[in-house]
Amino acid sequence: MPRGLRLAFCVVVAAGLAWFHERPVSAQPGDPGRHPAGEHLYRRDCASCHGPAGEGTYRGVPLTDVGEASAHFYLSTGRMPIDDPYDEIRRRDPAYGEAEIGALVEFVGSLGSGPPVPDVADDGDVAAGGSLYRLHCAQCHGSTGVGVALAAGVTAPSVLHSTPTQVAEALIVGPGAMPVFTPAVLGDDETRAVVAYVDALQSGLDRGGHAMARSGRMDETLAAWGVGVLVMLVLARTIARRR
Amino acid sequence: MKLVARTRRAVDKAGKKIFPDHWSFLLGEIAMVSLFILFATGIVLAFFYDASGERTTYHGAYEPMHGVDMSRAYQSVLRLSFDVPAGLLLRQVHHWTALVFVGAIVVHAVRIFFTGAYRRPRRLNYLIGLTLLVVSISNGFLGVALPDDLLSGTGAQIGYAIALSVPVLGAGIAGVLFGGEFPSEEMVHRFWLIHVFAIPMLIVALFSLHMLLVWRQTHTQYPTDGPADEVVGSRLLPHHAIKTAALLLSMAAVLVGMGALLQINPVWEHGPFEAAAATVPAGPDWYLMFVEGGLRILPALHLELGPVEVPSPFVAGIVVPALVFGTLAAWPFVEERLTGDRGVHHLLERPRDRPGRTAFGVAGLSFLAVLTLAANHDYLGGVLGVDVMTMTVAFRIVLLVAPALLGVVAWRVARDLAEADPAPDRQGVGHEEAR
Ligand code: HEC
Ligand code: HEC
Repeated sequence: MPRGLRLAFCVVVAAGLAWFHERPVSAQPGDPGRHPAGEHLYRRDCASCHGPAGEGTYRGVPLTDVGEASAHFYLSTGRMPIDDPYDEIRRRDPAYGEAEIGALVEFVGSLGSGPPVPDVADDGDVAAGGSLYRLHCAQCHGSTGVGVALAAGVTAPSVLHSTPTQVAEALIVGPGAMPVFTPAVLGDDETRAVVAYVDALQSGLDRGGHAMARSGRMDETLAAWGVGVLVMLVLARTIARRR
Repeated sequence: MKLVARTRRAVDKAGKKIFPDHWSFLLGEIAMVSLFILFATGIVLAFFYDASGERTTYHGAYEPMHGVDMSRAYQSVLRLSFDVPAGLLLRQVHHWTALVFVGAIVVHAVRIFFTGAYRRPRRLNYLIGLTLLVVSISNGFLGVALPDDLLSGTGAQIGYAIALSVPVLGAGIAGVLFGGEFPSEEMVHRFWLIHVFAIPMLIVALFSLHMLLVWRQTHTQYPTDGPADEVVGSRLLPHHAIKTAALLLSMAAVLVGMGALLQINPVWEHGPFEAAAATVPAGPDWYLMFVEGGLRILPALHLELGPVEVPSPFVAGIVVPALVFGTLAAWPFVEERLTGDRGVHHLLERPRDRPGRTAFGVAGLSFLAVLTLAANHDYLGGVLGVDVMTMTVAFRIVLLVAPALLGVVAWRVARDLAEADPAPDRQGVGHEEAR
């Protein structure tokens, strides 16, 4: 085998191994008998900050009235648990499997009154959702959904990895610096519409080739110089005398 | 018959014209070929564009926009993108080509600058080239605004604020250019007339003059190529014409390839412009990022000089570009003063042989590069996990330090290189005045 080919082969094999290695091993979902109950998990992983009854401590906010919606949002996006109260709260791989999250959500919900996990039907009006999204969300998350750094210490994350449930939860919860979208601002139909639009953004609005990193002008600049102008220079050097 | 014979003689004569062979002389031609492609694609796009700010409701092929209120201009761009065969491809090729076009002019200008090609007798042509750059950038700004989408609308709004910030004349300029108070239904129509009519005519006129002067004054050449009183290279016909044709065809292939494979400016995602909405990351095409960057990181100065008010966009929006292009325009004259060299030059210089000029050029380019990067400080902050205030402060420091530092480095590198490899002996290379 030529050297280049051999190298390429090794790279492909290594990448394949790394991929298999990194696939998350989920904690057997749908088997409630095998995982510790929500209360146990809560005592172990959450109570030190949020208090044994969710009353809050100096290390963490009260959870008595945040409801299942907030618990599910924070757990399924991997925002909770954190190790240190000053840790950055951002999207990570979830720390628990589906079943454990379900148990914890149920327990946090039982600590007080609060909104349940929203049930979003996937029949929202995408076009209406697009208009609402551009009016209410694009100023922070961007029309393509990539997100940017906002003010001091605040970053609006990408919405391109959120599930429909998480999007609906974000509207109810208003995590971090994001405002809460009360039913007066976004009613039921409108919430479903926004959720449907974010879903459409994730899957099917790309036309006209590769969308690159979706950062708009930034990508376009890199491509215009890195591909366009650079190739033109190579062409000129190929066509004319080099030195 | 007589006419045919005469034409033939003229072509024969023109065909004997000598063009330099070095690849760096093709940089301007890359810009020229891009210009041809811009005209070709632009003419087709014009058939489908509706330059009207009138409101309408969308019912075309792109379902996620059904029933949405928008301008007819935006609607026509959606129609072009989704209903017209190859319409999106043409739109994308036009936009990519515009980015490459200005890029090619800049690279060409960089070559001209660093080799001293602008010296007598070519100072006038240098100024014409510089004007072409400014005019092309302006047309890019106008073209981007034509789809009347949310992203470009944000840019137009900033343009409006900059126009307004001009002391005394601001309101008048902004009103004429933007068709009244922003957002005006009249705006796209005005932009359209300037974009497809006024500026292209100006570009054709200036470019013809640019070429005429090159023809008359002949090309410069590298000292290694031959004596100054004799132009060295290949004839226009057939050699150089074949090169240009090859460049045209291969560039067209690359640009169509980019248009087909890489998405640019997805206006259907940005949505129609609405004054109440906004999107991020927002910014202009690359060639105006240095202005946007200035708006983002330069301290906002709001001056009141007696009765005259100078709003903050004035510094970044007007003063900085005026300084940049003004300095560039003045440079050949300043350099003559500084060096005392008022002679005619047909031979180029190596950047290393003029450490002062090289350092100045590098400093200027890095100043512009930092401002350009700063135009993306929110997106970069998001990627780096750094907040925008920190990014702003960091960019301010870099803007002050980088040009000075890189300028000094360039000066030293140039000087060391020149010491190691002195300029070719100019004795006996012929008379520079002889051409
Ligand atoms: C190291 C301390 C710490 C630990 C451990 C921790 N949290 Fe938190 N939690 C916080 C802090 C601080 C906040 C406030 C975050 C913010 O700025 O939004 C928070 C916020 C939350 C919220 C959002 C509350 C709201 O206002 O909507 C929920 C829900 C939550 N935590 C659940 C949990 C659960 C469940 C666990 C255990 C798996 C957990 N947390 C473990 C510190 C902690
Ligand atoms: C003022 C700016 C702002 C607006 C407006 C806003 N968001 Fe957010 N959004 C944020 C911030 C900041 C976060 C991250 C919060 C955190 O992690 O603490 C966020 C998080 C989210 C997430 C979670 C993404 C993740 O990383 O898991 C979703 C989904 C979301 N927003 C959707 C929306 C939608 C839909 C709208 C419009 C209805 C909207 N946001 C409007 C600022 C905003």
